[in-house]
Amino acid sequence: MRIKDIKITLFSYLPYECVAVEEYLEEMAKRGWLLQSVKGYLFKFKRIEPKKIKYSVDVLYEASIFDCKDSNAALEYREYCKAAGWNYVCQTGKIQIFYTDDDRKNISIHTDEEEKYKSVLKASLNNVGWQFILTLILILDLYMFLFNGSIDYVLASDLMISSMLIMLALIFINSIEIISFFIWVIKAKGHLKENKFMPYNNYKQLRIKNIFKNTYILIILLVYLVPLIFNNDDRFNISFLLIIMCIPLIIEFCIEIFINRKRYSRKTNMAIHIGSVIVSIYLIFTVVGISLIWSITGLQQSKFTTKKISLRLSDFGYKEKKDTIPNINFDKSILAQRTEYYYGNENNNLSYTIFHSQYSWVIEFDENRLLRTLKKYGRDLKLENTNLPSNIKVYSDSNKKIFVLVSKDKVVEITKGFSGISENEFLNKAYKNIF
Amino acid sequence: MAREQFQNLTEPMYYILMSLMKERCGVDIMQAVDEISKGRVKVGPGTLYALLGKFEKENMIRETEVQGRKRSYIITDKGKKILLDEYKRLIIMVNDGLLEMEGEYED
Repeated sequence: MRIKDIKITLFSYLPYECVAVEEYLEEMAKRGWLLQSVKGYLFKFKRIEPKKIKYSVDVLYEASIFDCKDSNAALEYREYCKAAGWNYVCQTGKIQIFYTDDDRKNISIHTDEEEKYKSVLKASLNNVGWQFILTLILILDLYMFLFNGSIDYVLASDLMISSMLIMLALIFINSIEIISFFIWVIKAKGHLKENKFMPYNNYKQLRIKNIFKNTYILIILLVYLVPLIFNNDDRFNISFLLIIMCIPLIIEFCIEIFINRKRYSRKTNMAIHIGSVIVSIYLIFTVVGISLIWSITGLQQSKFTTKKISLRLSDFGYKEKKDTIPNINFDKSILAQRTEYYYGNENNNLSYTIFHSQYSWVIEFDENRLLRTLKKYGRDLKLENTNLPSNIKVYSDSNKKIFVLVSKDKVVEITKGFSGISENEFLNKAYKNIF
Repeated sequence: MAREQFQNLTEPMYYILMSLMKERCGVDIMQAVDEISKGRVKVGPGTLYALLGKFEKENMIRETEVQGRKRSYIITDKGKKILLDEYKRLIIMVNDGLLEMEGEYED
C-alpha cells in the first residue's frame, strides 16, 4: 500500500530469518525506501533518495513481548549498539532493527556465531512453539468437525465450509513454517560444528515462501468473502464472525497503547495482558451467547418456516395443532442443502433431516458419517429389503423407529415417533413425498 | 553448571573478563578489548551484551555503578579464578607446543 511518500508492506518472517529481512530492507533502500517502523509483519517506509544502507535485524532475547516499548533493557542495548556505530530504527517484540550508512567501519552487532544462534533459536522457538500448539488445536478441531458426529450441518453451511478451508490453510501454512524452521535448525547446527558461517535463510527463499503463503491466504479470503457478498443467508453469520474476530484485536491494540504510556514492570504488563485475554474471551462468549439466544427465539428462523415442507406429521393422519408450529430449519451451501423438521405433541412426533447434494462423494461421506454416528449412540442400523425402488437404500434400527433412506442425491434420516401405521406404508409415504 | 559452561573460555569471553580486571562500563569494554588485543579481537555490542548478562548471572562479574543507562562492572573472585584457570591452561598449551613444535613455527 502506498500513500504519497509513505509505503506500507506486508512481509512475514520468523526471528531465524533475520538475514532475509536485512536483505529485504537493503533492497528497499536501494529502491528509495527507508524503513521507519515495524508492527508485527507490517513494515512502514519513507521515500528517500535511493542509497546503499546496511541493516542489522537483531534478536534481543532478554526483551520480552510483555515489555513496554523502549524498555530499560532495550534502551541499554541500543546504547551499546550506538557506541559501535549502529543507528537504531525501531523494535517489534524481541526484534531490534539498526542501520548504518557505512558498514565497512562498523563491527557487526554479533561477533560470536554461537551466542547469536542461541538467542535467535530461543526467540524462534517461542514463535514456532505457539504455531505448533495452534496447529495441533486446528487439527483436532478439524477432526471434530469432520469425524465426530454427523456431518450434514457442516456440509450444508457455507460458513462452516469456509471455516474448515481456513483451518486447512492455517494448518498447511503453519506446517510449512514449522518444517522449514527445523530444517534450518539441523543445517545451522551442522554449520556451527564445522565453524562455518551460519545461514539465517535468505531473501529469495523467504520471498518465494511469502508469495506462496499470501496467494494461499488471498484465495481462502476470497472463498470466505464470496458468500458474504452473494449469499444473503450467510451474510449475517460471516459479518458476525468478522466482528467477533475484531474484539481481541481492538482490545490488544488499546492495551498496547495503555502499557506503552504507563510503563509498568514486566510482571504488571503480563497481568494486564492475561486480564485482557480473559476479558476478550468473556466478551466473545457473551456476544455468541446473545446471538444464540436470538436465533433460538426464532427471530433468525422465521423466514424458513414459510418454505414448503414435503413431509409433515399431518400426512400420516395426525393433526398439527394450530397454536404450535413445527420446528423447521433450512440450510444451503455450495455443496449441499439440508432441511430439518420436527413436530410433536404428547403422544406422537415426527422428525427428519433431508440432506440433498448433487455430488455423489458428498452423499457417500454424509451416509457414512450418519450411520457411524448413530452406531456410536447405540443405534446400529441395518440395510433392509423393502418394496421401494432398488436405487433407494433403506437402513433401519431393530425397533423400526429410525430410518435412513439413501438415493443418488439424498440422505434422509427419519425418526418415527408414532404407531398405527405399517413400516411399508410409512416408507412409501415418506418416499413419495420426499423423493 | 557455570563451571562446565565456562570451562574453556572463548576468545571474546577471555578478553571481556580481562578488561574487567578494572572497573569499566559496558560501552568502554568494547574499546578495552580492542586495545588489549591490539585490534585483533572484536566484540560486537550484541555479543558483549549477551555475555555480560551471562557473567553477571553466574556471579563472575558484578555491577558496581549505574549512571542513567550506563552500568559499570568489575570481575569477581569467582570470575578471576575462572580467568586465571584459563590463563594457566593456555600457558600449559603454549609450553607443550614449544616442546613439541620447536623449530616448526615461523613468524
